[in-house]
Amino acid sequence: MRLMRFAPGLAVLLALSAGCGRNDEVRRYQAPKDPMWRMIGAIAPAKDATWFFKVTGSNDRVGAHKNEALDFLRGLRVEDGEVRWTLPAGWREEKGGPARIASFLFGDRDPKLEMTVVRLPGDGGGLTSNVNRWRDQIGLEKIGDAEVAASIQKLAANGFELQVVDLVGPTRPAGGPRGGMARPAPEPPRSSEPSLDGVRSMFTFERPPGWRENPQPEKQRVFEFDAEGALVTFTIMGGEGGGLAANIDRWRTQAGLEPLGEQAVARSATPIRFVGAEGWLVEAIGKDRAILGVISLNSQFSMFLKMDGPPSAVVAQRDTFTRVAQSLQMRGRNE
Amino acid sequence: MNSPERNLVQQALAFLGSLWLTVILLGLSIILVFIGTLAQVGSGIWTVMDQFFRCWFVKIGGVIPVYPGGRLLGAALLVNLLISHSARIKVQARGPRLLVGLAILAVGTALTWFVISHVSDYDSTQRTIDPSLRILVQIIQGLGPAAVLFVGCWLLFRRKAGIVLLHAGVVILMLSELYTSVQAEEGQMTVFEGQRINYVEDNRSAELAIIDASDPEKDDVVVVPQKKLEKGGSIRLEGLPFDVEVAPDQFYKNADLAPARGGDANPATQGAGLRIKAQNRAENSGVDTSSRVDLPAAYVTFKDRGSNASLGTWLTSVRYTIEKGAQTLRAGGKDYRIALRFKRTYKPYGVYLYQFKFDRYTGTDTPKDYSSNVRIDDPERNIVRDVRIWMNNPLRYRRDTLYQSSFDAETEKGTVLQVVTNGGWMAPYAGLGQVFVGLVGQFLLHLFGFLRKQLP
Repeated sequence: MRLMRFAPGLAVLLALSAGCGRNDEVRRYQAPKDPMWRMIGAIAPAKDATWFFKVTGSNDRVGAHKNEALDFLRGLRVEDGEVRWTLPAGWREEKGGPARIASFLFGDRDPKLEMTVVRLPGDGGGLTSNVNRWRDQIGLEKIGDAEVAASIQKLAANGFELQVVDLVGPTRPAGGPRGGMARPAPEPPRSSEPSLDGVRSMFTFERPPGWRENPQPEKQRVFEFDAEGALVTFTIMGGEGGGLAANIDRWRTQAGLEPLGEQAVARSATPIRFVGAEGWLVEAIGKDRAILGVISLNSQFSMFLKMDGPPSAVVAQRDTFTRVAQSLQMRGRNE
Repeated sequence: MNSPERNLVQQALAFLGSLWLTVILLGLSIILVFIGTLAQVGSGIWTVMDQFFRCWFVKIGGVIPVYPGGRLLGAALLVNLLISHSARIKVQARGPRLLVGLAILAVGTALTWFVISHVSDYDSTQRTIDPSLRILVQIIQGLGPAAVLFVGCWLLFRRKAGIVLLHAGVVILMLSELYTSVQAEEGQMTVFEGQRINYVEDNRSAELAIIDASDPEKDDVVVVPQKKLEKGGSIRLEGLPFDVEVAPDQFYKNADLAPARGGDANPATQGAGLRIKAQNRAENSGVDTSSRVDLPAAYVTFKDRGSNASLGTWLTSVRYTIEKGAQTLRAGGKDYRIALRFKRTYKPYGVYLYQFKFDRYTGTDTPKDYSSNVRIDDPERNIVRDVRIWMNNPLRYRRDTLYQSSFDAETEKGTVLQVVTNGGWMAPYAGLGQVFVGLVGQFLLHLFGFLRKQLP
């Protein structure tokens, strides 16, 4: 039976010809809930300033340490117009980052939970805008004054009252993507916009963590970032751009402030090194809108780095913004 | 069977086992690899894999077959190899030697099967093998059964023992690739510090998820795979009171999002699509060194099944889902979350990230090591273990291999683990073990034969 010798080969041929494929049908299944993030935020008014305390982390972890955090907040006191605290056992204070007064590390295991403390002048932008900023960070819709008032819990500290919110949402605060989803790599600009790509590649600067770049900025903008609630843009225009005072007043008007006319430069701009040349740092902090910007003008082109947003967000990012402005360099351009 | 028919079958088998056919098939394979490589200039690597290699035919326009695909060429080569060996290699043993040879061959085959099917289930959370010896141990696991098989082959096939064994190794390698292409799954698990994740996402493919989250314990999820969305048309959503419809030109394999300006034609009537629009982009090609992934988007229309009335058209996009999350659809007095997301596969275990560490050489930005300290918890097996995953030292658990793949560059507080589910991952070790032992054995058989002739 010579034919029997070919049996293994024929068997494999038959097996393979049966074919196979992956399941590409609509499926229905029960799935565990997606992991959620949690943020406990407290707002403490003190003399001339508002203090913000914030803890973020995975829902269950923050939940497990909520009482510990609230006990700490109850122990806050005001001395000489400043909020003071006593660290509970097991807590460690770290020097704050830019715009932060302090950070505390606590929790039963590494990595520790972190409570950040930020102090903003005045009312810091108000309750609603700050609660909505936090809601946005954790992936929740913005809400109105009445809903904000209903969502806060009042907490009595030593001689003053804190307003506390406890938020649970799908987005990891501080710049991370949702849940466990992989973050997409930034896309390059479309081939129909080669000039923007060329201009972008001319500049280097520090990119702070937490700032999210929009890969497709609006026209004339070289870069565009979402800086934790504030919009940061870098624009280059041909010519002198209308002059320094006019630009300062334009921003002041946008922020709801009076124009200063000829006094604009003297009263609201400070000199700063910017892209290897002389620039002016301008601050226009209005009630509902704040603009922080750096302007550099010369006879050929003008450059504008601008941060625009609610006062609380802009003030919180002030140091970071200044650092970015000072780090901005044009490749091959000597100081 | 009469004589002419018998001759015809024999001629067919002689052709199928001929060396000419081998040469032709190898030539066709070389051409396929060449055109498949060229195709990567314009298409993503996984599109090319599907259209040229993991298919029976290369088709023009996805319909007309014009060239044999990788699967057909592989199958033909396999059949050619088996038939030619069946015809040419003859058993040289008789009597007790034949029985002993067959017995040893059976033991070797059982050992090979054991290595492929059981060693792959190795649970490295218990760390029984020193990491530095891991590869060596796997090579030994591949070579051991091959050595036993060689003894059996030598008893049965004498001077051709090595040839038989090394070709058996090649057969295992080919079948292993076929098995991998059909069964293996790959995805990524992105976990941030303090977070537990129990699913992987395959960023080569998307799915439209419609989620009923009204139960506080579990979500009721209906998913439509990307291939169905690409085909377009009306898709029935079993268990839901509505169906979904995709217009043929409204699925984008890779899309950007841009602000929707007044005056633009906008298919969306609900949700985020009122503010943003999808812009088609070229697929990221396989030759792109930046390894970007495609982010699909689609305009989908939901229609009430009873009345066929439209519930609205939504723009769904993977990019939007990543950055902003799911959108909401209200139907039948109930809220559903809808999201186009990377294809998800849930695991019976969860990975909790304690800490991600990115070590650099002192004073430089040069990476030294990436590592993740994680906790694996498996409620089914009642297992909770702390393990470390670092570069080139994956975690193996439940036939999954979890590699340290990437991290969240913005915060350095999130890890990305590549999770490969391939029950046959030991097969290449077994196959290559047989090829190696076969080649060395064949050389030694010839050497000893030569030396014996030289002896006086």
